[in-house]
Amino acid sequence: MVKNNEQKPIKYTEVWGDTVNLKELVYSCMIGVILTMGLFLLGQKIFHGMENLEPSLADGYALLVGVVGCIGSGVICAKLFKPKRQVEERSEFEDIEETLKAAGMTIEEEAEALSKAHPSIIKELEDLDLYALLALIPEDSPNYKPEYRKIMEGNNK
Amino acid sequence: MSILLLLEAFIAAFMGGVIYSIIGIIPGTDETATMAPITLVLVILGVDPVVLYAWMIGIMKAMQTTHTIPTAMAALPGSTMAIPMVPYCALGKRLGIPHITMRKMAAGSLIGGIIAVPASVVLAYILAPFGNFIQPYIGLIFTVGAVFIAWMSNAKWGAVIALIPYSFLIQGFQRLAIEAVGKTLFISIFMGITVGPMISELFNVLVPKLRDSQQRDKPNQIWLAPDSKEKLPLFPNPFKLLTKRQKKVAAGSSVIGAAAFTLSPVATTVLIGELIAGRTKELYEKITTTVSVQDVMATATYFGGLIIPLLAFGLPLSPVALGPAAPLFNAPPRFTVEPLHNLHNYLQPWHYIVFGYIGVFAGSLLAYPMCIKKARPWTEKMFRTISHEAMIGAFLGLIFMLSYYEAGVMGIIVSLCIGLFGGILHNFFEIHTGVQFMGYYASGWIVTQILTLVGM
Repeated sequence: MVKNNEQKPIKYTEVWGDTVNLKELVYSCMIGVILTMGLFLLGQKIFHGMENLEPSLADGYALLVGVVGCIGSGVICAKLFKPKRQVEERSEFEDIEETLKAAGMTIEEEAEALSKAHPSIIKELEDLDLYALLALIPEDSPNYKPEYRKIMEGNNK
Repeated sequence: MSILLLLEAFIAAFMGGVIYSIIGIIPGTDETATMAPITLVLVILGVDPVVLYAWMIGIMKAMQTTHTIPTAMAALPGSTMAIPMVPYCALGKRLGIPHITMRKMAAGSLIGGIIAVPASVVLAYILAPFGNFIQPYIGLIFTVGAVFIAWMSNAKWGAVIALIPYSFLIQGFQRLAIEAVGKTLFISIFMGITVGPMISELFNVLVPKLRDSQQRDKPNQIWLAPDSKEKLPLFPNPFKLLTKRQKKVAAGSSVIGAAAFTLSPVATTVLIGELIAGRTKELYEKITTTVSVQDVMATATYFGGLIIPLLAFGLPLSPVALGPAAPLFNAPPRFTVEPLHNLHNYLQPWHYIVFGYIGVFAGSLLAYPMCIKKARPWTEKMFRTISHEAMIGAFLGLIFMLSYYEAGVMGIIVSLCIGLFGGILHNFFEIHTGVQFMGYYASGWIVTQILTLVGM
């Protein structure tokens, strides 16, 4: 690997379910609070200055102005600070046995359940090309169709 | 009643639906934290009670629909209510059917909403006669409720015992507030409890040992499954997306969900979901049936938790009424619990049905087709463009503003203090925010009784 910088690796901190950069989080919080409060106080000043407006309603309008500031701060911070998460596309296809294991089931149990499954479920499985499951159906079941296993074998080749 | 009001309700519910459809996609957002503040702003603005009701139903419906998107796509809970769905969605992902689990959930939520609205109204009628009986015992009932919810939490007796110091904490702040601003506080305390878990995690960063445990070498990784190839209409009939058995289970669960309004929505969703999963043997059927029923439950418990306490008692006697819908019950000076003056006094029984359906429909208008069609690309875009920092910052701004609005700088201080202590209770002791909300309502009675008992 090429060392492209001599700086320490960037540290991430997990806060409230996602990773953030602490410095940027501090800036975001400051921007959020200052912008929201600033616009709210400004709104209060303007609306309370209007003589024909009830004070409670004036506060309500000021809150709306504040909410605009709040959304604005969100937009600004989203532009300034990029998300610290990696989004990757991957269809996680694993061995059907592994998937069953994760569900706490065995191949035998699934085959048994499939043999008794309602035709509507079998139809949905067919629509989704879930032949990995369909191929498990035992031959003595009314749900059994020889082509399932053929297609499955064809897929594996 | 005018056409204009119907139109206003529809627009409110639709606009709310748009906003909360987006919030639903953001993983980990909390219903109370996101719904209560904005609803509070609308209450303060003096929006008509029936419009507020339609808005509430609309935003609940929207969020219960789109929270399935990150849950199904990335096995990240789109909201607190989506947490029980994560294990089954993770299995669905492994089986390569995240788009199907999402569709089943969206259909389940819509069916749950359609059935739960009238079911809740009927149940409210059955329970309403007890309303007059309840009134003199509110303090006691809140305390019993608080003890029950506390005992149901993971902290068990720890949470029950913690109600006592917590009550003194709340009442202590109330006394300070009376001296400082001449009134007791609600919004600031409520907001403090709501953001507590986040405040406490931010506070951890200041403690070297805890900071180290929260540090990561690399950014959070999120995997998204590729989009499906199947074509569906923009607003497909939800009943057509479920099998016969799934429809039956969904309809039954809607009524159960509404009836279980006093229990924690997450707990009932887990309970019924596991019950159904245990009775379904085949893997694909197990996954799809369980997730659809779970989203039915999530929606139905929310509607039941809003409609039944509101129509029957006007008192916040459910976790939903104490959390996301709290401003419709208690938002002084406009709405108060003592004396009873809130949506309960304004809404006619038929309003609950008509405006409820306006809410369900308007709230689904964007969320439902989005789940069917646009889930994949929009989720990815959101993940890539909106940083977590930006969301936390904006959120903190909102909390500051609402607390300041209620009690000036004192409000902000109370909010942050309650947030820190409540957040520690939530994060370290599993005394969750629901227990704390209930504790807030029970605190007056608990403190008075204890002081009387010791002769003060």
